[in-house]
Amino acid sequence: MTHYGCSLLSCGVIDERTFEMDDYQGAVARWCPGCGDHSILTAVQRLLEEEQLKPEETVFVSGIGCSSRFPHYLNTYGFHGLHGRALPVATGVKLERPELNVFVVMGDGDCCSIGAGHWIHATRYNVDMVALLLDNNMYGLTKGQTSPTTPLHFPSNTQPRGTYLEALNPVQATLGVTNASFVAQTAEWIPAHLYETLKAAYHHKGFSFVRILQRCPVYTASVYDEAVRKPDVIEMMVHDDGIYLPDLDQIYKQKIVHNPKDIDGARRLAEVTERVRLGVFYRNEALPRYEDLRRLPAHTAEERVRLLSEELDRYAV
Amino acid sequence: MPSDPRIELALRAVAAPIDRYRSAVVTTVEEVRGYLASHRSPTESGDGNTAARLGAFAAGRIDYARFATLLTEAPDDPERLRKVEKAFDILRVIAAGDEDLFKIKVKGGARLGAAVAKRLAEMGRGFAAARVAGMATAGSLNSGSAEELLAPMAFERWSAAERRLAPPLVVELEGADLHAGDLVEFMDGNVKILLLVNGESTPAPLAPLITPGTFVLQTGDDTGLGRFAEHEGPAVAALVPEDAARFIHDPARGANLWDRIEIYHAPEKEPRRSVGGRSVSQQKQELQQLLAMGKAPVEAAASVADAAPVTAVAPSGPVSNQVDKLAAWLLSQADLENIG
Amino acid sequence: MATKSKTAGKGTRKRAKDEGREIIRVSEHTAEIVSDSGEGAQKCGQIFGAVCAKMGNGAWTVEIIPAEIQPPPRSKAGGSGNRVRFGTERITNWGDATNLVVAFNEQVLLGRHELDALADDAIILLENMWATHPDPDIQQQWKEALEALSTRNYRIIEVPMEEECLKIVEDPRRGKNMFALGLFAFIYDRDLELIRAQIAHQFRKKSEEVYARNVLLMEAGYAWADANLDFRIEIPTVKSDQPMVVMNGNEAIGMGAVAAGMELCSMYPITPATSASHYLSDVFDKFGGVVHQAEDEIAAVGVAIGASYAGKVAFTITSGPGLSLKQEFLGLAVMVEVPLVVVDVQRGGPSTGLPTKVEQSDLLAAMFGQHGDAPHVVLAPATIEECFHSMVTARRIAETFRTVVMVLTDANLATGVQPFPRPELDPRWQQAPVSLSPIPEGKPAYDWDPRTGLSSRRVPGQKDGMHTATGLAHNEWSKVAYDPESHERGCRMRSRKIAVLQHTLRAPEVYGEESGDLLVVGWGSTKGAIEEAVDRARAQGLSVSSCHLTFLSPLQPGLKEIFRRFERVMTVEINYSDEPHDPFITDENRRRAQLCLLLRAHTLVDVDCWSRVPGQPLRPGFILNAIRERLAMGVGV
Repeated sequence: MTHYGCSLLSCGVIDERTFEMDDYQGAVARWCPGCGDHSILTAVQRLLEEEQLKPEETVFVSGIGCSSRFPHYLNTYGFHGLHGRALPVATGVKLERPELNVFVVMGDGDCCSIGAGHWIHATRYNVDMVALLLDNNMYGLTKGQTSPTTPLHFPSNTQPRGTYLEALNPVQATLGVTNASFVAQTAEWIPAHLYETLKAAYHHKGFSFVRILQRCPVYTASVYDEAVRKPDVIEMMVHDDGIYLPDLDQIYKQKIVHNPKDIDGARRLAEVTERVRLGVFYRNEALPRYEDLRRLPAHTAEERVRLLSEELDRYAV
Repeated sequence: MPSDPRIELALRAVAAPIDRYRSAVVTTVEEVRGYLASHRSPTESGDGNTAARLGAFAAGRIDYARFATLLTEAPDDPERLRKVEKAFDILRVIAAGDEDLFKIKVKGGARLGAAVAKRLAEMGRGFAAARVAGMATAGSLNSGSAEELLAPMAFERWSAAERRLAPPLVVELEGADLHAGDLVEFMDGNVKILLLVNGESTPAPLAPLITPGTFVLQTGDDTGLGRFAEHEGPAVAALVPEDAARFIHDPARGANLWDRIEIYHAPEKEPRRSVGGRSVSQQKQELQQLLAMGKAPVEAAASVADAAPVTAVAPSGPVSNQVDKLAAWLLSQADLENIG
Repeated sequence: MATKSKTAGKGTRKRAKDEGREIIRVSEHTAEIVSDSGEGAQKCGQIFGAVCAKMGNGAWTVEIIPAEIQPPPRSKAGGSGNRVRFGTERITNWGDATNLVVAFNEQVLLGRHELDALADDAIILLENMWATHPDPDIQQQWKEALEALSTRNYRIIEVPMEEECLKIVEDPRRGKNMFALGLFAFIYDRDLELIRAQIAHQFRKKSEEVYARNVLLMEAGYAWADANLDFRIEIPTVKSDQPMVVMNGNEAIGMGAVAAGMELCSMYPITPATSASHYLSDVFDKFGGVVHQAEDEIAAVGVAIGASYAGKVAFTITSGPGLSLKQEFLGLAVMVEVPLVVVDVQRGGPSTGLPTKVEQSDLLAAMFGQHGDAPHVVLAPATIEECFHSMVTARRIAETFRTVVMVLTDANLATGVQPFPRPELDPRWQQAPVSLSPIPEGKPAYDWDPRTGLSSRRVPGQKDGMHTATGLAHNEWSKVAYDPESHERGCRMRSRKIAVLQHTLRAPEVYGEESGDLLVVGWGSTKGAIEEAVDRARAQGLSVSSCHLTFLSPLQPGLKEIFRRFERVMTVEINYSDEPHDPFITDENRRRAQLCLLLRAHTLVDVDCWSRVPGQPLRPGFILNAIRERLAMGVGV
């Protein structure tokens, strides 16, 4: 269509609903105690409430994995599909129904391994949606197999003597894709930062890619241990056009001013160092969005029949 | 006069908003068509309906009577269905309407506000029809009369969502009849009004409409019309005679009034005679207000004071407050007697 | 100019008094043009085929496609062109052998000869520039080729095409096809005005100058033939009372998609499906539709499922390898009950197989390719007309039953061109599938009717309809449910829908007598060839009928009853099966053709099969031989 076709049928209904956090609550989350996903779910519910998104006009699309249970725990529309294939489904939803709020929840296996092709292309399409990579560096649901983001030498059930390869860097990879328009990184154990990042992602018009560092207490408990215990490991990228939370200054003293418009700076900062960098790496709303490029006026059935009849004339005997 | 290049220019400028509006109507038409097809009683729709809906490939292969029992949802009450059919017809007429639907001409001496209100109310029949169909699909349409629901619906009765989907209008009028105050009540939602001004006009007739959320444009050619059409929010533009001011007020360009206003042509000649009942001094004031709004903060404050030595305007407090006050003052000075 | 042999074609010949030229009157003829790839033979064939149809002949055009994009020039495997079978009556298939061929060099001609594509008495119009070519190797090849060709009864006419074209254009490689069109136009006495109009249509994207040059070349061909040929072939035309259209199967699929109210075609390029997307890409936006070329086959179906989940009308189109890649998603669509139309334009497999060639070997993959139990619908249009109409029905079934409908066509239908009655369009085909009305309280996401398994659709935007569609086993609330009852119930409900659809189907018709010695059962594009073979067999006194299946899942009712009325039942298919007499093959280990396998399981009747995988449509003559052979094997099931 993506014609502008939003229906008028419910336009006349005066909608005086206000939504509380509870209104977005779906089934009780069944992640392990201590799993970082709980905190992400809370931040997302807070965002939905803050933005007063109508539950029926909000769609969460996920793949397969621990994090992909996400839609079940929300009272919005959800599509819990195939491993690695959340992005194509979400693209189809947003392409045809641009008026819906679309969120995608993926794990590191989903996004960076089996669905890596879709990740690159969804970034390039720049369809207006929020894509969350809940990165715990491991396959959790299937009980501890190496993922592309598992740190070097970290053991798993499939690579018990440690991984052989350096971990893939999702932020760097996304920043390398043509037409990438929003790339941010945050951590679930810093709820204020997580929330602000989600909010910035939601308000960005285009494909907002957010990598959320997420602790898995069962399989990768030690990976983010240092970052959690020593705030100095974290370096906050701050800017008026990015994220700046003065309240966090007390704890997170390492700061670097980075203008999200600066793609070269973003790519430099995305390189792996001892520091874990959080904030908005890059943001550019001027980039074309696929659903806008493909937007067409709608036609009634009669018009389409008339046009098709003209088309048949060309083939008439 | 379809060959009038200004009308062509204007219709081109509102082509995208027309598409957006019409697409919404079309989408609704098709939804209602689907509702009607699946809520007619099987006896009324008959095998013919099932056959038609299944297409020729099914001929001889599918038993229509059996298939029909699967297609039909609970049949709707015939009286309610008739209402929906009426709503369907209204929506179809609007969907099929050509660009004349989006064009009006105000007769010399007639009220701009009244003409716009009348056309929007007519277009409002579409929203009213959609409400009826919406109630039917939601199961809340009673079987009583829906006549009034299907009648023209004045803009004041449009909901916020409907105002966001408002159709654009191209309005041709005499400069003398251009009283900006007439349009204030329509500056809401996503309403787009593009005025084609004939004859003489005051130098800055649209200046009084400048408020923080409203896109306002005076132009002599297509400059700014793209931004006018794309603006998310109410927007008004006028293709004005050559000696009028040309400027853009674009709410997207910043929080400060002077950032949002771009004046790229100020009239060289002073107004010399009254136009449409506005005296020469009123016209001068209108122009000076515009020029003042476009200037940097210090100067702006000074010249506003010059132009209007009204104590209420003395700018103080945060900038946004100043802007709002200024806007309010401008509105109060505008010719509002025609609002009705 | 050699004019030694008899001419070809069915029917009688008469000499027209007033012309001094032999007029060969036949009821049908098969003409082809073959050249190196890139010499425009296909354009010539397409124009000729369309003109024949427009003049009121029945016609069936197939493409002659080289397997490589740029094969070396003058190679036997590189022949490219079109073959047009046309006649006074309706033509339903490509027929057996070519009666008249225009060839641009002797090597591509030799390729056709070796494929046994030409009738023994075929007329050949052959470019003769190679005989005197400066390269002695080429001269030698020419000599050898003509010797090889002389083993048959061909009537070879040498035509100085290059020389004649050079009088008009500098580069004859870019115009010989129009000269050849002129030859056809004269020989078959075609309407020159129609030809000019068709040239204009074919080159509508090119300049006026290109059109004018092409017309000149065509007229030159016509004039040359008039001056040099001592025969013409006359095939009476009967103008149909009904308005007709002519197109190929992929155009019909694309147009059918528009007619069916499709809003999104999400695809990835793959032969031979792609040309349908080419057609749609050209016209779809004017209808408000989008062709989305996804990053891969999986994403293509994923985007279509997302769009359909969101309440829009989407389909995907692919060919064999793409079907394999899409299977996981197709299972998901069945599981979450998202309506989806999938077109599979079948080609030769397995693996990359025969990308441009016909085969009917995706049937089982289409039906059973998804893991787990994923019941859904499979249809197979048999004609180009049905390619168009099947899209409308497929959408309606997909939406009514909230399931996947696969439409199986093949390379034969995709590229074949056939006239058919102009479809009467109906706006009801276009209506939106859902209205975004609020969902009543307490209504589950899958409000399965326990009898039918049917449930009402719900899409984002519908107030109070929030739920999460999931590919995990789920209950009616779409909550993940691993308990035995929930999973069994879900499987039962999804399966029940297929039974309910089957309940609305009618028994297939039998072509020919209602009972007899042999029933030939087919599906898909082979219908015309099978029925022609049956006609010929019956004309020879054999007791043969046929039955063509369009619904393959569910199968139409009454099959067992029909089969019982025949001594023997045999499927004819273009997919692999072991021959009963092949080494090691026994009745127990014989791998049977795909529909045959299904029918045996479905009816418990000992259905036999005859199938071939030549990468070509089946010829009616070959089917007739198979029928005779099977009947000779004795009757008895």
